[in-house]
Amino acid sequence: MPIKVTIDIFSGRPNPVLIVDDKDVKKVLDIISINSKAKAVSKKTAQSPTGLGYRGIIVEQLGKVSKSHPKKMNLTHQHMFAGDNITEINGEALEAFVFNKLSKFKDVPNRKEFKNYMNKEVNRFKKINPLLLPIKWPFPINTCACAPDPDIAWWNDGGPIQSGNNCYNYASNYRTNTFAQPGRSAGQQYTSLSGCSVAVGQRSAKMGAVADQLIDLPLANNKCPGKGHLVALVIAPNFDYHWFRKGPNGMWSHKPGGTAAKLTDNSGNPISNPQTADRGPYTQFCTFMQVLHGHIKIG
Amino acid sequence: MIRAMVYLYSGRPNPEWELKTAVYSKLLLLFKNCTPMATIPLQPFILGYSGCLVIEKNSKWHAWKGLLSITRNGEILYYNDPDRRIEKLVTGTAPSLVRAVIKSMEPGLI
Repeated sequence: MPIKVTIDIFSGRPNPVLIVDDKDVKKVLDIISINSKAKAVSKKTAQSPTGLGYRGIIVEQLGKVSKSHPKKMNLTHQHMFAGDNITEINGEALEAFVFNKLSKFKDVPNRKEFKNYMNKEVNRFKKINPLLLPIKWPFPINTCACAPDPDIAWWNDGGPIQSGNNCYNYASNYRTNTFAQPGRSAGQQYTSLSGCSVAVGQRSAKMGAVADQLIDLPLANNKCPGKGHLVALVIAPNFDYHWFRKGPNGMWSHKPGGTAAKLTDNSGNPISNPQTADRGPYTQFCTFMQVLHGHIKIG
Repeated sequence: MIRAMVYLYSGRPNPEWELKTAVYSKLLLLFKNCTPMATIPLQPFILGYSGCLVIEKNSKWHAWKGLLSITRNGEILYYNDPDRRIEKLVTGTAPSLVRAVIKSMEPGLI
């Protein structure tokens, strides 16, 4: 049974790939087994790594799948992600094994340069790992059971999905490819972005969102609703509005306009509460709102 | 037609305008001084001004803080943009109201 080993590192060009089809198959699977923590599998509590640069090693079983391991595993130096599951692992042994085979990989550019680049990238990745760790018992499982995963790889296609959908699309988890505007679908688009509250006779971004069937939850206090998911509206007075959405692990993510969706604020910190996050010019926090899946219509 | 755009807004559509042929020719001249980058830098987008775009039929140029990325047929190539010359050239051709906003967010750029 062959396996495919991918170094997940590039954004535009194909990742380096090695098809292993000999005694090394067992070796790779053994390394994964021996180093995973007594099958301490939990439901997903963190996203498999995303972003530019090194993101780990992907091991896929091709052909007949060994039942002792998942079909597809995303491995970092300390986590294994498989489907909805995550387990702690000492992945450095696997990294060492894979990096020693670099000469056999396909799609490796200048090997010497690539090796230097990869070493730097792996070190950088380990430094930023506190974003993913520590995951300690009790696992924050399903803090917001109904909330959508950030799914940022899907939104960040570098093409029409990314450029045609803004913060409102992403927060409501509703792709329109129209750069949706609060209220536009209901014929009641906002008329003023002077602040969270606007002058009598004007329509605010929040009023537009309510017209789209989002539900205002000003007292949500960063807690998930029983149904649907939580979003947050902020305003850069007289300039623009912005939305965040809360994920199943209780952390927030967002998509600044036509740029890439992300898990961090303007200072690069994970977002536990959009009220206290670094939001750049979006200085006014307006409200939390609830998105009931299937109820809203934006455009 | 070649279009230019700046990443400014999150909710509202970003400002776009036509890039004049003469400006584009100048951009190509400036590009001759841009060298490919050996490593892919990490430069996450932020809320607020996040650089300018030049959009052609088959490619997209993004210049921000000295980094130029060119996307063509799904492939991204990274170059340096010395002294942010390409970014300054493109943002300098924005409509005056847009220039004023960029100026307030990124003093010294234009």
